[in-house]
Amino acid sequence: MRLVFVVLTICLNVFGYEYNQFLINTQIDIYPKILLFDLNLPKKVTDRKIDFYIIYDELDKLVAQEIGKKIKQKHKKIGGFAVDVKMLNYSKALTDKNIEADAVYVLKSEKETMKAFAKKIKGKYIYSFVYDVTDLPLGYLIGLDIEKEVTIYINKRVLLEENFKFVDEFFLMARFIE
Amino acid sequence: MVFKKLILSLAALTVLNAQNSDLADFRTLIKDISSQADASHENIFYKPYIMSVYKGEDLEKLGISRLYEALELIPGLDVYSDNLDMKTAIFRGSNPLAYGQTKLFIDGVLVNDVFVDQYSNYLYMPIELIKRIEIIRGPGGKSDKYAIYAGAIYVYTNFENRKKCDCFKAFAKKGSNSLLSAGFYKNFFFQNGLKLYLDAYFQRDERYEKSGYDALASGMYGEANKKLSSKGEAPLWIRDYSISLNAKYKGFTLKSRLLYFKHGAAFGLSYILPKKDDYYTQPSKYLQLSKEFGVGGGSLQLSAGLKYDSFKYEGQIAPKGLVYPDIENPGNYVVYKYGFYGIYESRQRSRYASLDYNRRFGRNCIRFGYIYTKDETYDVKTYTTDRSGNSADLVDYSDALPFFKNGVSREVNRFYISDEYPINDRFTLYIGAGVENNSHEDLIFDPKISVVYEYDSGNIFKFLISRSHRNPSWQELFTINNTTRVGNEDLEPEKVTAYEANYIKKFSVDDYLQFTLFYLKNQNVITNINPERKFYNSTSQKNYGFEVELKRSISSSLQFYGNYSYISGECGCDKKIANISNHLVKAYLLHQITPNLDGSVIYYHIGKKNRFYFDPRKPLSGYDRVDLALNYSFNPEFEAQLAVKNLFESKIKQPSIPNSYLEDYPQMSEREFVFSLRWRF
Repeated sequence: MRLVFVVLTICLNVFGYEYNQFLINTQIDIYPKILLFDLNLPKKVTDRKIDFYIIYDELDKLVAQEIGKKIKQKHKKIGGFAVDVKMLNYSKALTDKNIEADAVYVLKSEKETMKAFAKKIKGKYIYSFVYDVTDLPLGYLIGLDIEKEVTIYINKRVLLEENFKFVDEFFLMARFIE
Repeated sequence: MVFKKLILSLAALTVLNAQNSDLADFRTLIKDISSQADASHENIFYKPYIMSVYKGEDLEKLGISRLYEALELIPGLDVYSDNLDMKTAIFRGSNPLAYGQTKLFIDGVLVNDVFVDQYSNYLYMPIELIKRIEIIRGPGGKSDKYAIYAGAIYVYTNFENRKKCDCFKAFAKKGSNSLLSAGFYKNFFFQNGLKLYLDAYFQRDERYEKSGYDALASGMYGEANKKLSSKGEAPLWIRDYSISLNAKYKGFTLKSRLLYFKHGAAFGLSYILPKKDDYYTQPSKYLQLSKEFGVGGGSLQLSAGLKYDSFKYEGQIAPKGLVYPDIENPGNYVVYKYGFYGIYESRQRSRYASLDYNRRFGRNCIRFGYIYTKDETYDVKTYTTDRSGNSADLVDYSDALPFFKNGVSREVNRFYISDEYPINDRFTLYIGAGVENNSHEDLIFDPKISVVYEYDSGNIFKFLISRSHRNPSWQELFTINNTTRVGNEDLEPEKVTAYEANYIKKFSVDDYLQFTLFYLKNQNVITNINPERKFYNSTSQKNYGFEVELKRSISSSLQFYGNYSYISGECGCDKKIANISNHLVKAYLLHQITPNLDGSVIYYHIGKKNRFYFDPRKPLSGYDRVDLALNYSFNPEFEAQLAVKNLFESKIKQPSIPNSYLEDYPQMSEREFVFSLRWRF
């Protein structure tokens, strides 16, 4: 048993997060389409191009690249606007002075890191989507989970603070968290 | 300025117009994905049964090579093997000496054989060909077509791939005990909508394990034969080949598989150590054709299928000098001076046809159907050494002294109906029943009811009550002219009533804690542990316990999965149930060293197993086993893996039945290595 413990302890080392492939594919299909339902989208996208950022921990680089590739393939345009998918790891995202993002899709990281990034994009009218719906209260706008069926969550606080103007029908399809 | 306003207004108008059609498309998309999630059980926590889902690619990373190794990870489940090293999954300690307690489905086709009701030949399936394994513990499962007794295992190959890709994967393995294995699968999609799936594999090894003295030493064959007992290398080697072709076209689905499985004779058909080349085979093949129709707003599926399986044993039954009662002249004895050799073969076929309909009526999701099955034995061969004992020649006793009844059959008619009804946002009620009538039994009624309560999306409670049965297997009913197994045509089905309570705490989309309490009442439990070796409905038993399962990323640098099961119970005579472990622990850690290199460690603890109350031997010791695996991805398409199994060389044994081998059946005693290469395109 002691040996087993030693082996297990040795393994407590650097490790990338686990991602559910079905959930990721669902989010890739759905998240970019949500932008269509914001009445302010044309005002927001003044350069006729949506800058869609994937924010990731360095060890999840391959996961982020795969997501980026699929978003590019599936969503060449959203509401007539071209989509430009970009990758940014958390350390750069936190140190870069200006992030020219219209939307961000944030993968998992330490809570403090995610909280700091949410703070950084606060007040900039950036659509923010999370992989893990339990990360929404850290200050992000939209999450999605596979429950009995696909369930979309909206962070009411972020929605009101940023003053997003989604069509009413979209709200009927989602649940709110405070 | 005016121009900018105009552009913005035009863009806003475009967006508004688009929104109406986009909203409709968006709703359809969510509905479609929800249906896919339901079909692939991505939403299992909210379903009215207790299920675990494992993905083939995740299991590969852990160094798991075969289906039965994957089952060893499941909470409450112990993989048991007998004197022929025939493996079966024992759920929650439910009658370890009987097969058919659990059912195995490959791509939805039931593959348990008719002869023993076992599926050991399919448990060697390489993990690379498996997309997903779903395991339901308890009888309150999702399968209405068949009565599920202790649990069910659903294996899905990549035929299930919904992506329209021509996916290809191949693998090759080399390892300890001269293991050699290779295989592939390929999906084909054609412009006209035809979808094909092809897989094939082979594997062979030269496994032998050192046995203790065989059943002759225990006096099973009388005092005079004790001196003939031997010990040595028990042949556990395998030769395994399979090919499968599935197709889908315009609502038609074809599923087919050919399996050839040959296994060393292990510890002997009659508990006497066989020769190294002695063997048994369990080939199996099936073909199923289905057609789906849209009828009355619901979905109707008609299916028909054929399944052939057989059992053949060829080898030494007893060594030279055996003294055995003379069957032709009762009261006299024959000395087999050349030993006793036997070839036993029994061939079975199953034919079935079914109808399944499901549709929504308001909030009710109703499903009902009917299945007719006919199982029959169409060929039995028995060749043994001349019963006079004076010659080594084999004589055809297929008519005079067959080992099994020829021409027997059983017809089963089963009706089922179920309704899933969401009472409100939090409560879902599920009720169902199966009614079975078969040519050996009167009407059998299997009801079930379950309630799922979502306190919120992260806290889910389930309560299940269900009843089910297991029809006796052919072996238990029709074995004749045999002293180690005596069939009994008067057997009643085993019956189980299960009470289960389940709580799930979701920490995040990937992390959860699951806790299950279970209490099972088994009646008419079938065993042949008696001096006559005849199968009887010998007792009733109660099994109870709990299972805890935790999956958690503890920090950004650590991910953990583990489960602990406590299983206990009594048989009718208030004695502890034999041959089950009270404590099972399974856990693993995955470790990504660089984006290309990852490693894993799995730990298993299987507690000691008690003997039957009349068996004077000490309990079978438990064991701890640790497996390691290291994967290197050269690129997304090509990876290599080195797996080390049984790192600390634990002595892993399966219990021998009383009055047979004095020592238990060794399964693994040394450290083993498997090197694998995998390609994906």
